[in-house]
Amino acid sequence: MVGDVAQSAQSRPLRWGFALAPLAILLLMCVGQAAGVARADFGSGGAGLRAKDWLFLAFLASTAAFLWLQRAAVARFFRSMHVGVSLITLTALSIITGVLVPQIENFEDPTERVSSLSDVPEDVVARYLASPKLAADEDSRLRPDDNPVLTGLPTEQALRLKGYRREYEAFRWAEGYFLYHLTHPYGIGMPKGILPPQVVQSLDRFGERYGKEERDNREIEMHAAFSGREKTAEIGKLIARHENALRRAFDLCTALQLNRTYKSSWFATLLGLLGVGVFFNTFRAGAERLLSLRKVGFFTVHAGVMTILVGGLVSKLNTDRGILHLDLTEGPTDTYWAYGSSDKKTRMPFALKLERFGRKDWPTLEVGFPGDNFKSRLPEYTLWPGFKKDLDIAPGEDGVLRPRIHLEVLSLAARARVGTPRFWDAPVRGDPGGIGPLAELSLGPLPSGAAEDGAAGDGGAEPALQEQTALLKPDYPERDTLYDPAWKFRMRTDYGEGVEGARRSLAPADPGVLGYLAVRVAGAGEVEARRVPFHLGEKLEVAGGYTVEVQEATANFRLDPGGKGEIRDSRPLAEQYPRSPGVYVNITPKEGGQPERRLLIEALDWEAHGRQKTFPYKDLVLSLEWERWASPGPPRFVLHWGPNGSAELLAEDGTKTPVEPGKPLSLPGPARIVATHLLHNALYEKQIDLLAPPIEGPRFDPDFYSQDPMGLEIAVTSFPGTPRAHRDVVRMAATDESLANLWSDPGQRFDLRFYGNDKALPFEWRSVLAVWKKDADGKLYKVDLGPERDREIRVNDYFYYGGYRFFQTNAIPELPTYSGIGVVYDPGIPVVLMGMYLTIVGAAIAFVIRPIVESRRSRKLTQAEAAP
Amino acid sequence: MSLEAFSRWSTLAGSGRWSAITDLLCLLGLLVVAAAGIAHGRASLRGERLRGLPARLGNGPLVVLVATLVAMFASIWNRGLEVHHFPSQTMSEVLNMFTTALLVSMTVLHFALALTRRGPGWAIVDDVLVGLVLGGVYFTHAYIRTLSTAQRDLPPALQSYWFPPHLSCLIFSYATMGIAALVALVFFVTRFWTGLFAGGVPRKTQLVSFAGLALVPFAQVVTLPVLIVSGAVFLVLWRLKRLPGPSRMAALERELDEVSFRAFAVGIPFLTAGVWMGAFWAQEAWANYWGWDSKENTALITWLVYIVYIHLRMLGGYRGSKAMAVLVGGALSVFMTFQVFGYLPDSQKSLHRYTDDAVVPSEGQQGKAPTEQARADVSQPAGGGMGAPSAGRVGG
Repeated sequence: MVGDVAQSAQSRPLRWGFALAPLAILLLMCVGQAAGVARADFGSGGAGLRAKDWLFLAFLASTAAFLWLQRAAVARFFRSMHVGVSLITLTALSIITGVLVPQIENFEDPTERVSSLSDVPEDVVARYLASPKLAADEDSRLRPDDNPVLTGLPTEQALRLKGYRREYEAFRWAEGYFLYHLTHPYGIGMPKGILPPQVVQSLDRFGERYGKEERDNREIEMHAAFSGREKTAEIGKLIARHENALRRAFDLCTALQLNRTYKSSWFATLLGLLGVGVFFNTFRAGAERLLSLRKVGFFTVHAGVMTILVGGLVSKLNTDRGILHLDLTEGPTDTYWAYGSSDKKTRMPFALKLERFGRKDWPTLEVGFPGDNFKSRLPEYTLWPGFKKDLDIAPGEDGVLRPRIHLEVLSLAARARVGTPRFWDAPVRGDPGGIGPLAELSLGPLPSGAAEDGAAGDGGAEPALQEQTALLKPDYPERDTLYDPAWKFRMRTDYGEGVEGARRSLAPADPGVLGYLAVRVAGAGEVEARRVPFHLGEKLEVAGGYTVEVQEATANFRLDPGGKGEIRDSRPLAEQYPRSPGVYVNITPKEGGQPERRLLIEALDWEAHGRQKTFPYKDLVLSLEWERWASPGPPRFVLHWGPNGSAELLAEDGTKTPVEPGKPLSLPGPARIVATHLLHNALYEKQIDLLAPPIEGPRFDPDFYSQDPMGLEIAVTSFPGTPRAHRDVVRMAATDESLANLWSDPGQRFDLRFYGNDKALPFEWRSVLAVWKKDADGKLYKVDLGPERDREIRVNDYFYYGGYRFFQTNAIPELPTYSGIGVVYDPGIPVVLMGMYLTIVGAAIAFVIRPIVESRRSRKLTQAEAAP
Repeated sequence: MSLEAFSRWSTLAGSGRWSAITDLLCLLGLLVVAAAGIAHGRASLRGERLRGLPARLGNGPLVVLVATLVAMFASIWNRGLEVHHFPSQTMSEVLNMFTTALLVSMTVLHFALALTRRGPGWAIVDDVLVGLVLGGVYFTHAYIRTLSTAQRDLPPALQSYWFPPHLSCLIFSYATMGIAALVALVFFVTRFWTGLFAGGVPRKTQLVSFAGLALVPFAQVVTLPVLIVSGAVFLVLWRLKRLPGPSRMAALERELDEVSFRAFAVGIPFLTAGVWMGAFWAQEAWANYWGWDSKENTALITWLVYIVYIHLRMLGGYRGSKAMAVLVGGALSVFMTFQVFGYLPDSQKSLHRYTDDAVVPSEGQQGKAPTEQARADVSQPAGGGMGAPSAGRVGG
């Protein structure tokens, strides 16, 4: 009887259905996970193998023996359609899990884990997680301003607790965001941003100037801004309601390694099983059948998938990734930070030197209508040769809407040279073609070491400053002042009958003001920033209930290129040339939560750089505008002249010195300033030469690394298509030198401003690298790897040497000599790519070529049968 | 109503003008489709082919489809000129590309499936598909009008020769897979309404069908309108006592399964090529062919769902409604990849959120530069920084 049953079981092998197959695979994944943990722990006990190490070896040996002895059953298992489909389905489900569970930061680093808190008292964990978030919580190291809950914990525990919190909060937010949208499909029940009527009116006027599309886009942005804070608050409430469940879910995901799915042993096991399954099913038939038209496509796809998995295994076992921080001012470097961590410095068998680095911004045009005073930021138009734009839309006499301005870019240049414009006084004072009063000053050369404005460096071996020309326009607020490069005086210009205006300038209403904070609270319904003057130590109450305290200020904020921190300017504020003003502010919310300390740098717009979202109070947008005239600094002077022809230099102490054209002004410091021309209504001719065509295509172009400004030639047509039509061809350059970036139309209706848009990502970054090695004597020498074009890297075009790939990844606007280079060592790449190509070719054969060929054969057969 | 665009014709850019023409053609096309459907239906009932004027009317949907496609191509072409790059940088541009792909795909499938050649009954299916595509294009354009159409510069990583083929392949495959799922959807709504009005379908099947057609979030965008409109049509057929019987339904299930598979077969090579082209591109940009980014993963999930479909259908013998249900599941995955992606938990730090207007692209920025760490350092009140005002910084 027993024999019969045994025989029966042998004759009817187990059939793997859709219930049993996934369970078996899940079991194997669990075994794989356990084996992975054991392998990671193998031999870590120091000298000799421990009992569990021997157990692991025994397990491996017995598994191998089992697989060999049961090879027929194993083959049957993998050849089952149900197993194959289950493997693919479970792979898909695993990846779905990886999408639904946010992966931990830097998950690609195989050693990265969510910190274990098993030895930290639960009440400490609970108190820390419940405490309001501080800026210090984002830092992976201990800081003096860390949460008080961490006080008293051993350093290592405190660090783990901070790491856990960072990951948990990212998880909590991502899941809350997802659940909120899942429970509000199609936006049902979400807050709607209702625009106030005055905003809508302003938008309509905006639309008349810049077009309806621009207006509608602005309205969409405003709706998003108005509803943003409410939505964020609702997500916060949702998270708070489900805090415990989210915490449990996070711990469960951590325990099951779902938040590092793709680096887990269970996932690797699954992919391994999938590979074995594909292998068994690919070679079921003989070569002749596999290469038949019916099968060859599917065979190729399977071969491709196997190749991808093999390549993936090679990558998994060998890959190292990191970032190499290079600077033009530094020598060759052979050390990169693996996975971006300064704790994992890794050396290459050679060194790299940055020979060139360049960043090119998008050429951009802004069109302003002086009379409109729109609060909204003006549209920015990215330019290219042939670019056209119609603006200032108004109904014509026939009632049809027509543009009253037509712009057309005739030519763009990667480099332009700006010469000093030629200025002369209009023969008729009231000539509408004139640009009003203008002072042309000659700045004599400065000796080496005297310049403070950064044009000549930071002291030491800085070169002398060459002779320059300065153009000051007393009626143009941003261009009426000269700041001495040696920072010994500030001089403003004033034009008029009397000197009352000049006296007012010399005695600023608020001499202690350091500048203005542009404040916008998106969630409080603010779309436009408000300029708020500030003093050091002042507390400002702003919208949204925030209090902003200006704690520290410098006019000369600098970072060490080596990444070691800020280079502090120890001089008093008044002695610092305002090259890069910066302030630290302390932000306290209405409800009195934890304050946020934020650095504001005048030259940087955190929002445009995408960093605003990383701030604890991210709905409060702040930017800095330094007051260079009124803030502490060297003595102030005003150069005044008037229609009667007299000119004088007024000082703060009330003294007046006559100014004679061609003779130096009596100003303090080493600078020699001569008023070359003091004009009443200047006519001028700009001198702008376009030197090189725009950078096009991914080709090496030395002009990319040039520091010259970009150039533009644009045709401006006023009232096109009407009898009043008037066309100007204007040359501009993206520099404020000699007003080369500005143009006003003769009727003073509108202005053009041309610039490189450095607010967000640039047009491109490029670096030229050189490989350096050591010779037998240990001396560094440069390896000859051909011309620069062969060693240039761009985003999308890496440099390969010695098995390493180097690609352009980082750049920092305030550090123009720094280039962040991604480093990858991965021998699996060509194998995987080959597999992918095979898969594409196989799919094309199976689903395109095969049906076409079969259809033709079938048609021929039908025709042959039909033939008499 | 997009036809409002015609009132400000002179101020519209070229892409806007052609988009407005496309919308007009879609509305016109729906009327033509309805007329052609009625003509085909009557011919089918009489058991004869269309001749003369009705035959020309029967070709109307194809004519309108091609005309709409030409208008949409003109719109995309103009948009490319207006933004000076391949126009797929913003969500509005990508959706316009998708509607173009829908029209291309429907035109290709019209000839590849050759439904109209099978007789007037099958021509109705073709009419329905053309109608659904034209309606889909029209309503997608209506949705696009709620999005920003502002031009955005291409970030450096998108300035690659892989950008157009990668995106075109994926979008064409998504459109084709979507149409394959529409074929399946036609079957499911037919079975649901026939079962409801005439019976003969098990209650459990009816409940599952209803849940699938009406309750799946996000899929409802397509399934609910189709369910409602088809309900009206089947109500009329029921009153006319023209509902298909069980044998006709069985044949329909078999044949629509075949048709949907053929549509799928057109799309899957493009899906495969599109997914792997993304890997080739990533390899060139970051020397990382697969970064397990959530967008890559959702595309891979879609591909795997379709691989499951192939295996079930070709090896497991899954045919008919079971196979078509998997196909609809694949289309849902496409929808998730394409539209719901931005809400998925792991997408918050994705490198692929270029199309999200609220996100400033930060692609290419991998790892923290030392100066970013320095910024964090100097943000500490003690241990660095500019020092307190009392330190004599200000004014000496």
